[in-house]
Amino acid sequence: MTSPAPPSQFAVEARGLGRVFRGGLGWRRRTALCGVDLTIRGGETLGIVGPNGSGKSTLLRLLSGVDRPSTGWVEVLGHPPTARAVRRRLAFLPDGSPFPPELSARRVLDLIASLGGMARPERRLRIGEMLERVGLSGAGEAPIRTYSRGMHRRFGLAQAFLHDPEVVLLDEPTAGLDAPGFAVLADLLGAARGRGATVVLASHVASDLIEHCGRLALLVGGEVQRVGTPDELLGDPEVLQLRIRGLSEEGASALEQQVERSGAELLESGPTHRPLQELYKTREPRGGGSGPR
Amino acid sequence: MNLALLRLSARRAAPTVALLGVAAITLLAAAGQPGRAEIVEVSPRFEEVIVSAGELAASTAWIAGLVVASAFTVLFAARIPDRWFQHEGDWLGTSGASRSSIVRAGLAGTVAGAAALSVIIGLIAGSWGRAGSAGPASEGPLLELAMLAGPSRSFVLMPGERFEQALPERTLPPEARVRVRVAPALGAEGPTTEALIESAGQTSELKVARQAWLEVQAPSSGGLIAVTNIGSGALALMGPDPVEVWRPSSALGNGHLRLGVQAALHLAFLAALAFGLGAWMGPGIAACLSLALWLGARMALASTGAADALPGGAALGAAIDAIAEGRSPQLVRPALALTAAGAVLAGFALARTSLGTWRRESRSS
Repeated sequence: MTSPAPPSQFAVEARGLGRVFRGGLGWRRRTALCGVDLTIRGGETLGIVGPNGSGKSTLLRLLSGVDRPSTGWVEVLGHPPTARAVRRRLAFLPDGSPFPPELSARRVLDLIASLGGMARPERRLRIGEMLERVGLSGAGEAPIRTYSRGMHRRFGLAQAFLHDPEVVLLDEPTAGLDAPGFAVLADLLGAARGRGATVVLASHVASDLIEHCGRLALLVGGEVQRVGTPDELLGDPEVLQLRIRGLSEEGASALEQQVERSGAELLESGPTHRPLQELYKTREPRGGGSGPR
Repeated sequence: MNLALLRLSARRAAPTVALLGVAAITLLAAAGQPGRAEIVEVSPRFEEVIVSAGELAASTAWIAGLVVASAFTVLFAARIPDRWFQHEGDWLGTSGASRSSIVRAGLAGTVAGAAALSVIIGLIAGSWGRAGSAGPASEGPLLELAMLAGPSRSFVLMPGERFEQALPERTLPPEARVRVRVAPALGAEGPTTEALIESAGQTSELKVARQAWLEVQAPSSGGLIAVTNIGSGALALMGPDPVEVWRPSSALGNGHLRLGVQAALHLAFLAALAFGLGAWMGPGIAACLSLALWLGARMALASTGAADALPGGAALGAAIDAIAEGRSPQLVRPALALTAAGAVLAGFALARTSLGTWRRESRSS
């Protein structure tokens, strides 16, 4: 923290946030973030999108208090994120799988929950429920190192949502998730929103975030380029998308002719793709999809 | 203190490969020695030299096991904080636990894991100990050092010369023994000599052809110990404090438990140092630096009165020597335990001060 922060009305507030990494001997410097201003209201879900190396993970680490900013300051729930009172109300899903690979999912969840001060009987109850919820109940006793990438991500979600946090920071939450995994994420995010939690999602795939986020922030080269609703950021006012169910072939043909008569250009027409989730529901998988490798 | 994190750190400080490695080397070292006592007729003029093979195997096992355990300890202990900075800080740093409590649990687990290695060595070496041997020290009661006496330097008795040492007034049980460390020396007619030791009417003679002990029953309460060179060669009395008084010991496990405590303190000392340094530098450098610091301290203190206060120092050497002779090491001195505790505190302070952030400055993603 370089300067004292005034009391915040936001769940998350960052001003002038910058992070410069030094090289091996401190001679080479790399700027990962530069002058980021960000405010997130309580109960809001913000998506941070940007290409690889744009500083999304660094930003989330600074917001979570894992890393310290080189310039600027961060406040979460009105306090620095490193404050113990904040850490008990905050959850962070880091990119990759940094959890002890030699332990089982149940053991790691128990470790993390105990570090958070959760009582043993509550831990036992919640861990079982959460493993069930993310679809890992059958693999809860297997060492984490035997998990597939998608299972790692499900486990990461389980640890993040285990203690019903008020602020949730998720870095690449969809990486490696299969279609049921997306449903798990949607379920957890829906429940978090339902209890008024503030959520920050970071991904390089904007389409993964759109349905969950009220606002998106575009991060490029360590700087926030634009902030707005998904429509404001990604919407093209020149192109209109219609999705129609139950239209006959004749009806579709008439509609196309109508569009052409109006002088507009029809860019694409055809049946939409069903989500994979629907296919999974209609056909039983042959292998145990959620078992360890 | 968080027990789950303590367990994880203990498991990482003494992983299966370390447990198996230490067990295998200790076992090989013990099994490589002669399995039973051997009596060798050296020369008609010489007395029988009895090799107490069981104790030799046990002490060799301790030395080999401790060398390997020390290497494993510094390597694995230094890796624990490194993992935190590599990536585990992402979830440790956002947990509700304070940084101090995380370091405390991590360090306690590391020290416990290191100490577990000494248990492995003790279990294996102990089974080759006194019970399996037939040396002279194994036949009587188990003895431990009661006192040291004599000048602080070595000196030579020429043929016919006599050395007397008064022992302080202290009641000793009838099984107590007194012994004097001697060796042949140059300066007289022969390369070897004969020596006579006297104590409260008890006498014993020994042909001295190499470094050896003159041993006799100790006086019941103080008195005079006399050594006379009755041969034709020169006799050196090896100082400092060449006179030792040994009393019966009730040490558990024939003294292996006491040696185990010393070994555990030594490994805890190294583990704490490597853990603290590992929070500031790469694990390889931290491991090497920890060993170098310990070795440097050992060499620097070797000729000072503080040599016994360094874990893994002179006291550990003396304890292993005692085991090799089928005797019990002394109880751990408070100074030794205090030094080990100091190292643990230093390790804690080093690790805690490095945790301003959970990311090393040079790492980014």
